[in-house]
Amino acid sequence: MIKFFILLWLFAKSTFTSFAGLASLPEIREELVEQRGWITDEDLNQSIVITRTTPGPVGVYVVSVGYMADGVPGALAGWIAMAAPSLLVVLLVGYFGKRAQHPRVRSMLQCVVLASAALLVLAAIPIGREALDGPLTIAITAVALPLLIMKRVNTLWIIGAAAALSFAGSIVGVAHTYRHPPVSQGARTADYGPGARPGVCAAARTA
Amino acid sequence: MADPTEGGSGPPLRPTLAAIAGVFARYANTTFGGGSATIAVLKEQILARRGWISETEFDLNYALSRLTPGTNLLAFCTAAGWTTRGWPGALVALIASSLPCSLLAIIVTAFYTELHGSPLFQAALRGALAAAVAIMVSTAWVFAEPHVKAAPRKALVIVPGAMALVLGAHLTPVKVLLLAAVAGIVWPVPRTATVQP
Repeated sequence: MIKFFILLWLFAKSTFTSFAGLASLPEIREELVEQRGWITDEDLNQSIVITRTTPGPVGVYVVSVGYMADGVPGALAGWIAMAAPSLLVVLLVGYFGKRAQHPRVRSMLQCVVLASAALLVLAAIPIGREALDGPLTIAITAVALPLLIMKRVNTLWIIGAAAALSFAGSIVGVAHTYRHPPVSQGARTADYGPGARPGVCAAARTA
Repeated sequence: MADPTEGGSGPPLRPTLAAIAGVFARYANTTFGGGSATIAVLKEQILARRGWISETEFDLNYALSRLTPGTNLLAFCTAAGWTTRGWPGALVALIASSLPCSLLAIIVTAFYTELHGSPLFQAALRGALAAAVAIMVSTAWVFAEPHVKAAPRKALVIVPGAMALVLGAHLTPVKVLLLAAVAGIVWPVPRTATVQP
């Protein structure tokens, strides 16, 4: 029970002070791996791989870390710490929503949306480098992109079809053209810590 | 595009709490490629298809969720829930968007060794990640398109500027977004647009 509250405090401390995805990672690593030794670096890497393996936000890795540290209560602490900061957005939307028609507020929102689109393109680069490792995956991306931009096909169908194609490809033997095992090699804690490659760091923070 | 619930035309159609729970549970928990890709899918669902929020409300929710601590996707869902149905909507959207993916993460964590040792699981995952790359790039366009058309000069300054600040000056994304917000506030406003209703 004590461990639950300690985990909740540690997680909340880092999620409330980080903006997006894996930005809370260095602090969680410092507390849980270095200071307390409740999980290992390998566990932490594994939790990042898991969040890349499962759909949904990347920030869900704290749930996985919580489960590793303390089972279901730890996962609950992770979930609360992941979800709670989101409630703060209501204050912002409440304040700016009343002023949404003001030209300067509109202009501010416009610039933030544009800048965030630019960051998103940068974030796709390291993931692309890692995921596009053979003719099949390159073909999947090349076909999916125009379909998505033209909004012809629902995104869920594209994800399902891509997974099924790659699955079928590995059965008929296309898979041996891949260079290396996926995700597990790409997502290393070192990539997200201080001194990491800037591209990867950007992906970690914006994803 | 002839859908009568098309967003932007007419007042937004406010959903029931059950409808909020259904849409956010389905679409916030099924997209790979991180928060923004998922938000693009949600934009399509709650704005273009269902008309729950307007284009301006989407910009408001999205831009401010990027400036909120924690996970941007969940902040966006909370903001969209609040915009449509107040606090009950916010809480329902937050729970619906965060609980299923958390349970999935717990299950995968518990069975990690078995799943990640399976070559077929890995192959399916590879395909899903390749789709995620396409989703992220198309997402950037989905978000930027209305503003590139409405304010092309802003787009020409802000988009390369943001990229340069990350790649050249190694600024963190939240700093880049705050600088963009400041640029937007001080950006010269055309005379006709300054007239208040």
